[in-house]
Amino acid sequence: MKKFLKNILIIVGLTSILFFAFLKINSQYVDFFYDKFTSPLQSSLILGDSKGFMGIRPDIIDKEVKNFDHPMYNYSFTMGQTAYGDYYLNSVKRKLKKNTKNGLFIISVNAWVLAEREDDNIDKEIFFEADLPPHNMHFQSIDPNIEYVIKNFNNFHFKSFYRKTSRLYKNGWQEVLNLPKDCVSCRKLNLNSINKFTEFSKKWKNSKYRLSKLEETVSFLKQHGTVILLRMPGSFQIEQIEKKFCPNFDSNMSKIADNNKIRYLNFAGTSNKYRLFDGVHFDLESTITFTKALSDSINIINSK
Amino acid sequence: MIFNSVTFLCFFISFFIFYWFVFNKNLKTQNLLLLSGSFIFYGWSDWRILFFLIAVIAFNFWMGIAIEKTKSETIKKQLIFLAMLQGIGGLAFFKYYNFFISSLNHSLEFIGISSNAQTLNILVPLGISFFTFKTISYILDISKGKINATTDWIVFSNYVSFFPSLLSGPIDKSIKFVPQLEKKRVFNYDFATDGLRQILWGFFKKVLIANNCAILVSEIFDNYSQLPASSLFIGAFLYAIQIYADFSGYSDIAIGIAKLLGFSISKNFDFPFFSQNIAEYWRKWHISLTSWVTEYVFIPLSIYFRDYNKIGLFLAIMINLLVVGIWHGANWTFVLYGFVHGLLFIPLIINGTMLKRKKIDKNKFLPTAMEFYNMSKTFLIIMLTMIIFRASTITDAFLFYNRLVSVSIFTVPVIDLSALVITLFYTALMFFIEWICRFKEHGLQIDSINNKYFRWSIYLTIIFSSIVFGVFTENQFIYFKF
Repeated sequence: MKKFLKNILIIVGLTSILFFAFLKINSQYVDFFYDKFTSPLQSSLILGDSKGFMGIRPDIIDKEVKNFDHPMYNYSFTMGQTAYGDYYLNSVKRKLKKNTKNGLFIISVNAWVLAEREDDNIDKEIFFEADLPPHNMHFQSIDPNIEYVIKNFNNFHFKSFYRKTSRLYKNGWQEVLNLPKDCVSCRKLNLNSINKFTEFSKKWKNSKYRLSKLEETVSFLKQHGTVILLRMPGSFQIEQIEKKFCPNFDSNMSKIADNNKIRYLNFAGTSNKYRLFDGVHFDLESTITFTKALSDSINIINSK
Repeated sequence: MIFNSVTFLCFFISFFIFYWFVFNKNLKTQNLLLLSGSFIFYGWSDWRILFFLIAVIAFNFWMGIAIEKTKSETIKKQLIFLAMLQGIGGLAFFKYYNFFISSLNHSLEFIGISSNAQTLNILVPLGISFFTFKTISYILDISKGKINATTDWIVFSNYVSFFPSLLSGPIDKSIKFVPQLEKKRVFNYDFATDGLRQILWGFFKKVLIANNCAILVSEIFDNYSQLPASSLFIGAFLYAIQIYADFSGYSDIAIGIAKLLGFSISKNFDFPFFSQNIAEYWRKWHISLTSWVTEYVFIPLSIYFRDYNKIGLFLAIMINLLVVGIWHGANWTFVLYGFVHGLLFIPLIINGTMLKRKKIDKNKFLPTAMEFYNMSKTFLIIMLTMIIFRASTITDAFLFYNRLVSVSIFTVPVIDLSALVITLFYTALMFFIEWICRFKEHGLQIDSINNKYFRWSIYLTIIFSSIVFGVFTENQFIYFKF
């Protein structure tokens, strides 16, 4: 029995070494989020859903914006797992360096990350995001992150290591490497997005809870530096759906900004300056253009 | 609880420790632990079905003793009838009641009579087909005097509910299994190591091959009306691979787990896709079911029909395969599947080649051209008949065939090519390894490789490939629903 158990332990050990070595080399390609939990604690964060996850490059902000605790880190996720609430706030608290005083925090908002979804039952404290990363993670900065592997194994898409369809950079920004190149595919994706958000607008409702949690997030981060509320552009049709779903969105954001003496940067209606391949997300070139425009706006705010 | 889940891993590790380190001193307590483990395993998904299992065990335990004890032939026959009524009746009620009712309604509607017979929303106990066949064989073997009824309720309960084989077999006969429960088990390193190898091979087949096939197969079968015949052909091919890898993978894991607990249970697959004709295929596919049906259905029927020569033999085979077909589920597709396979025996019966075993030489690495032709032909037939097995209705199956037989078979298939390449690569690897080990108990019985490092590098490659290329979301084993 001793020999049997010893051999099992050796096999498990060798497999683990092989697996984590593989993950070390390929983690940028085989999981959208794993490296967000192996990176060190951060002083400056970008929060939000996939628009910010793919559309704001921390390295450009680092280059363009001075006078804050560098480096900037993109701690955005996707709409499928992220909405403002206690879970996201607690995760942000865990990812933030405790002694941060001069951080920069860009909170990307839209009507969907402030909505109550069909899987939520806020009165009963049931939230769709509870068992998804980053909310199900206790250890945010440990390499290798065994907790992530155990809890979120199904998120890994190991086959991508040879396809390399997306890359998660060390600063948390994700680059999608297989964006559609032709107009037909883009039109199709655009139509999909319109259908998807139309469906959401029918099933989801505006949430006072999530709005109050956004304000709590703002006031928490304000203790650690400069906070900016950001609305990123969407295609005309998508913005119209959003407007119909939440007509008071901008006034709500302005109110939170005023209450907390922070700035609300509203880029809605500027989609003609950028290329949104699916009506929601930027392509690579527009990501650079937008991040630069955002940096300029932040510099203007800082200079006032 | 399913084998490829973290829950089962945690359950089994703790069970293994208690089994070999705490309860190993006394056979009775070890058996009691085994029974508790089986009940936890079974009741995990829905505790209510556990009561049905316990009731079946209790009923058949007392029936076995009563049948053996009774001197009166009439009472004995009545007791056997009662036991069969419970077994077949339970199966008929839980698995086939709704099927009977909806078929009856359709038939009556067809002749212009409206029927109000209602189907029921029944909770079907998992693995009912498997443990019912165990209890039926137990009762029949006692009645024929082949075995003695066990008086130890823990032993009998373990025989029926042994968790590695409870949900999807193999269907062990009590004559082989009960003596193992009555004897003190001693941990054997070689036996347990072989069990681990078999588990690994089963997981490889399940997560890497079956689950990868499942994704492509679902895409093709769900959209067959819009796809070219070439895609449908690939879909049918992959489905045959999927069902083999899924079920034989499950059986390998079950047998492997049993070995870790010191039990030897029946082999369920003997590399059936290397068969050279349909009769050989059925001797190698789901062996524990086919041998059960052979013993309790085919042999009595062939004796009954013996005066009718080849027609009698054909009738016995046809009924046998119809039973095998309907055993899989309450759907006319399974009946048709059994019927078609029955028809496939006709040439073998006419030629008298049904029982001829064409053994491929053990020392030859490659088959001859004729052997290869026979294997390919048999595989193609099986692959095409499995379309019926996969289809939701007979109409769907025929629509699929209709679309398959078209000139679009020569067009480029519409399919995720990179996923197909990975799946085909590992399928080819599986067949290559199984071909090498075709005279062994399972595909990874590589204890004859003396070089430890080479052996371990094979294990690591398999584990690593399964993690990287495997699919872990398609958890359910196909045969759970049967």
